[in-house]
Amino acid sequence: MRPGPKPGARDTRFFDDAWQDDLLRALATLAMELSVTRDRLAALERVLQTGEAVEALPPDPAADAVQARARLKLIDDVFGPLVDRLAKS
Amino acid sequence: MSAQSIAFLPSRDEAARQAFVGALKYYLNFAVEPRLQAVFDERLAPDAQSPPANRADADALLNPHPLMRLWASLTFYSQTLLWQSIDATTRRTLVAQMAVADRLAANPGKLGSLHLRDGFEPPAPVRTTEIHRQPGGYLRESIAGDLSAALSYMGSVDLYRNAKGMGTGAKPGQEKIGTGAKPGADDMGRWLAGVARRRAPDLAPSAILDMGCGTGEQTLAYRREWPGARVVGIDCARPFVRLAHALAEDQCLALDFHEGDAAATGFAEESFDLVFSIILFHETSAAQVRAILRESWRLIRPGGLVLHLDVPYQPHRMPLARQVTNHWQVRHNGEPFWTGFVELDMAAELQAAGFSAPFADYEPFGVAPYFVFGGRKPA
Repeated sequence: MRPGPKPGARDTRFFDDAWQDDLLRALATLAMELSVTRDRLAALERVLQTGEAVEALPPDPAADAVQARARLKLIDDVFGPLVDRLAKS
Repeated sequence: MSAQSIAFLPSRDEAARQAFVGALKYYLNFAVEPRLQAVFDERLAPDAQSPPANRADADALLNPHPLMRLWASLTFYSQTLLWQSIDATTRRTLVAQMAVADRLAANPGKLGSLHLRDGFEPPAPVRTTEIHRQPGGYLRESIAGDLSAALSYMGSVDLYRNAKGMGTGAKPGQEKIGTGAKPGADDMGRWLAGVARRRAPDLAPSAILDMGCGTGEQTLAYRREWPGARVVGIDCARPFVRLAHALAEDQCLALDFHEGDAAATGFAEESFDLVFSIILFHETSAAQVRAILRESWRLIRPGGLVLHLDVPYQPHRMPLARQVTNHWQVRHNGEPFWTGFVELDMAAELQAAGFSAPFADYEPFGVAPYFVFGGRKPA
C-alpha cells in the first residue's frame, strides 16, 4: 500500500466532528487575510511618506521584521488560548 | 529582479499571504509542537498502562489527544494554504516566465545545455505521489513547455526554510520568521561545497554532478564555487530541469541539465570528481537509495568524493513525540519515504553499495543540523 495521502486529497480532517476542523481552518484563513490587509496598510503608509507606487516600494528590513513579529503575535492571539486549553485537557 | 529574469515573483499581497503561511508553520513547529511534547512526557507517557517503547506506542497515545488533533488539522491546512498562495503567483507570472525561458533556450550563443529524454518514465514515488502535497506533483504539465510545477517548487523552498527557523543568517534565538517565499538562493550549495572542501581538501574537481538537482539553484552554486569545472544536474522532473536550464542561462552560467533517474544516469563510469545531492534521498524508496548509492560509486573517479545531504531525523536523535509528528508527515503531508529513509542504517547501505570508507554523520547549516553521507574512492 502506498504511504501517504492520495493525490488531490485536500479534505482530510482530524477531529471526530469535522466542524471543528472547518472552524479552525476558517479562523486561519481569516487571520491570514487580516495579516495581508495589515501588511498592505503598512505599505500604503510608506507610500504616503515616499510617493512610490505600492508594488515599487524598496525592501525595508526593519519594517519586515516588525510585520513578521506582528504576524506571529496575531497567530498566537487567535490560536494561543485554544492551545492552552487543549494542552490541559 | 524583473519579469525579464527567471524568478518567483510574488506581488505584495501574494508575498504577505505566503509570509503568513510561513509564520503559521513556524508557530505550529515551535510553539505547538513543544506543548505536544510536554503533554506526552508529563501526562500521557507516565499515565500509560505500560511505558511507550517505540513510535507505534507513542502514536497510539498521542494521536487521539485534542492538542494533537489541532496541530494535525492546522498543519494539514497550512500545507493547503502554502500551495494556494504560491500557485497564485505561479499562475499570474507563468506566461511571462515561460517567454523568458523560451528566449533563453533559443539563444544560439547559450552557454549550457538541456537534455530531455522522450519516453523517460520517472520513478515512483515522484510519479505516483504529490510530494509535499504539491498539486499535480513535480511532473505537472498542462501546456507545452510547462514551468508551473517548477516555479511553485522554487517559491516553496524559502517558505519551508523560514517555517523551520532556518532563514539565511539565522542564529539560535534569532530565527528568521516567515518572511515568505522569494527567489531561491544558492546558500545551501555554497555551504555544501565548503563541507566537500573540508572532507577532501586536496580535491580539485573538473567534473561535478548534482543528483536530484530540482530547479537548479544549488547546482549553480557548484559552478560558482568551481568555475573551471563542468557541472551537470540531473532530475527526473522535466519541468524542473527545464527551469534549471533557463535559470543558469539567465545568470550567464554554463551548466548541463539532464532529465533522468539518479539511479541510472547513463553517464560514463568514473566520469565525475564530485557527486552531490541535497534532500534527494527522502523522496525515493529503499530500493532506490541502494541503486543511487551504487550509481554514485560507479560514477565517481578515484580520489573523488560522494557527498549526499538529507534530513537529520534519525530515530535515535528524536524523542518519541517528535517521531510521531514526523511520521504524521508521511501519512498526511506527502513525505512518503521520510520515515523509511531515517530508519536506514546508512553506513551499512554505503558499504553494501561498494563504498570502502563511508561516512554518515551530521553537519550544521546555520541553526539546523543536516545528515551527510558518502565517501571518497581511493586514488
